[in-house]
Amino acid sequence: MITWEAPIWLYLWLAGMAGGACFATVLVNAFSRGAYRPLVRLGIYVGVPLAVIGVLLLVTDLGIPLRFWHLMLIFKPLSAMSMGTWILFFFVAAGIIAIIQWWGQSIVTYPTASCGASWAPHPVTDGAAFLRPASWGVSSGFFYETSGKERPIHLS
Amino acid sequence: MAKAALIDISKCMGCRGCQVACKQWNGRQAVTTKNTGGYENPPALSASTWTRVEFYEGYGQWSFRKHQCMHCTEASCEAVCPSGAISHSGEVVLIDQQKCVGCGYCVVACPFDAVHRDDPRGTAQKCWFCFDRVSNGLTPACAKTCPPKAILFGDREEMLAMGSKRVQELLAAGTARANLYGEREVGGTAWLYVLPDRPSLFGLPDRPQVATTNLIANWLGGVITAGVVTVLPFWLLFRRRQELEKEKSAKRD
Repeated sequence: MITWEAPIWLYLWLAGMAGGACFATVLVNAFSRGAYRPLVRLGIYVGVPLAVIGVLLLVTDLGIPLRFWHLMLIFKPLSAMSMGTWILFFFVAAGIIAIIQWWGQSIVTYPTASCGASWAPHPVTDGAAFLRPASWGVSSGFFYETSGKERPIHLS
Repeated sequence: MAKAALIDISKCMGCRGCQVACKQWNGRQAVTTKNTGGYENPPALSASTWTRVEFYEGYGQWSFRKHQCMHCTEASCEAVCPSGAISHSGEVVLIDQQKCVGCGYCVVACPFDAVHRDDPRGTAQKCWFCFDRVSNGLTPACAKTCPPKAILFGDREEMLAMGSKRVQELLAAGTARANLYGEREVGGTAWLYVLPDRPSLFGLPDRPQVATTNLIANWLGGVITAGVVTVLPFWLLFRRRQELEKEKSAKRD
């Protein structure tokens, strides 16, 4: 007899909301040919934190929560839980990278202060410029739609 | 040479010596219990109770079945374990207590309800076929202690031969549905039962299934359902909108 305790049913609800928010907004944007790009950002800002909370709930439900990293050492298609671990990992990683990148962009678009010499690497800008191709690699088209088609920030 | 244990239900007398031997040899804690009106005790198989004799009345006479991990060849728990803690060593299915994260997936996946996680330690635990004894040439503690020799231990071939012989005896004596359980179930189990009747009368699944049997169909079903339920409404909505816009622009022209 399977009984789902509070962390599990809460997680199921949160994961449904998170996946739904991201998936639905991306679909709306795709089918309207890019007319709803801000909505996608909203979807990811709503969805990714919910997914993070869900993941934390799942970790607390483990018999030994501090051993959660054992799950990150193995990729096992036979085990739905192993696949779930990796799906959640890539979902959250891609979402966080997309969010960091938007923050980077917003700082570049409105430069308010000079950060020392012009040749010195800027912690936020150059970090974002590095993360953008990385996020394309990680999210393989899912968040590509959301990352905007503007010129690369290091050229703007 | 693969080892196996054979339990002859028709010989078991329900003394539960195996339970005591198991607890003693493996240093399992006693469980707080109370009288529930039956003779079964402790209340259930758990992380600290690795074997337990269950009492059944469905078959014409009062019968007893020792319940423990079956050590399946195609083990569901091993297939689903996301931390790789469960593995086979020969015919024995072992849980690595250092690797187990205590997610409880094996507890749900086991078709025999033999793995449990209700221990302060947090990890999943179960019968380990007295691995320390067996790998040193001894018999498991429960088999060693069984007074009517209802639990036999030895080479698998030999156990299968003895089991079939006993089934033939029972059939000849008029027990029409006597059968040997575990020869082919889930790839063959290391614990075999001589049953006088259908397995379900003794709390065993008639057709045990490995938890990953319909894996691809299940994933495909989920993904396709989710895809249709989410993609279709948006696609229809925006197609309709585009049609309306086209009509509008056509009218304007």
